[in-house]
Amino acid sequence: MGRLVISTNVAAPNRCYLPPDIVEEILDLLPFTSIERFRSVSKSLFTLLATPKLLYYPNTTIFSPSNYGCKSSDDHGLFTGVILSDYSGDVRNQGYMAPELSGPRRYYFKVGSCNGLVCLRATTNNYGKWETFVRNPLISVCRKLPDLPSDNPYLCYLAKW
Amino acid sequence: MSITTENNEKMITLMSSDGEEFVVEEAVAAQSQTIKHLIEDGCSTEGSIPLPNVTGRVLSEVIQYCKKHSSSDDKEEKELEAWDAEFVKAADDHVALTDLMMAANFLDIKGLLDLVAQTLANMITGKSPEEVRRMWNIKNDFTPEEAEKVRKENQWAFE
Repeated sequence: MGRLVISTNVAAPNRCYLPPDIVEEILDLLPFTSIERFRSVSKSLFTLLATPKLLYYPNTTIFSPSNYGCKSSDDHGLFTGVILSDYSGDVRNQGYMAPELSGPRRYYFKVGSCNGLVCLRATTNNYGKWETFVRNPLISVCRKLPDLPSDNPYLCYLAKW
Repeated sequence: MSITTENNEKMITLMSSDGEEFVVEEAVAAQSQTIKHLIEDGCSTEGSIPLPNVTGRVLSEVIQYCKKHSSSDDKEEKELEAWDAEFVKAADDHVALTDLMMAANFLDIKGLLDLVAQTLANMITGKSPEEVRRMWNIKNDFTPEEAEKVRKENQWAFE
């Protein structure tokens, strides 16, 4: 005899939608890699995620302007232009970056480099999660490293030594 | 209607979009900047404050949050964090959370908005674009050529 299976989980089409005025609140909190992936969700998300939204870290002494995201092409080929902002948050100049790392809602600084590899930390905004990447500029490959136990940038800064 | 309790706390009546009424202390309701401004403008002196964008089910959750947060002080931060975590866990799926977030946005309750936004962000962090589309009925409006181009540009993020 056949059994009747009743599931409470069928049908009821999902009518939930994400209103535009709250989308950004959520996107702002996503880590780096998710943002890249979600650009392919729809055109409106693509536009939203492609709109430059430059943020800067409040005045702090641990970042000197030289590791403040402003880099030129001589820096291990990481950036091929000058990007992001200075301490005042003003955009000085925009240029091109390594494609894996380019894009909006980014803030990053270089941790250090050795043996031709560059290590850098990136986040989507001031409150976002920091992620660590290693890039080999020679073959243009970028890899995300496992998350650090703490989001404290000092951890990574010290690792340089 | 403003009623006063024994300890002289002014009470405010809130009415949800489906006509449900909630009587809460003014300090609780004023966690919402929107309501706070309405009270300041004298909108609460007669009858209830109508909240046309918020259903009774969602409003009762919002009030729970406001009650907790108006009665706790900074010393109880740890406990409050644990309470927040339980609170969003109880909302359990993205549909309920999205409703809650819309209400928090309309009522302008920053703490609640941030809490729910973070929960939703955590929820979708590891998801594929297709899963995100399904969650919120987002139409994939890229042409196949455009989709391929975007996918190529972001290839590394899918690895």
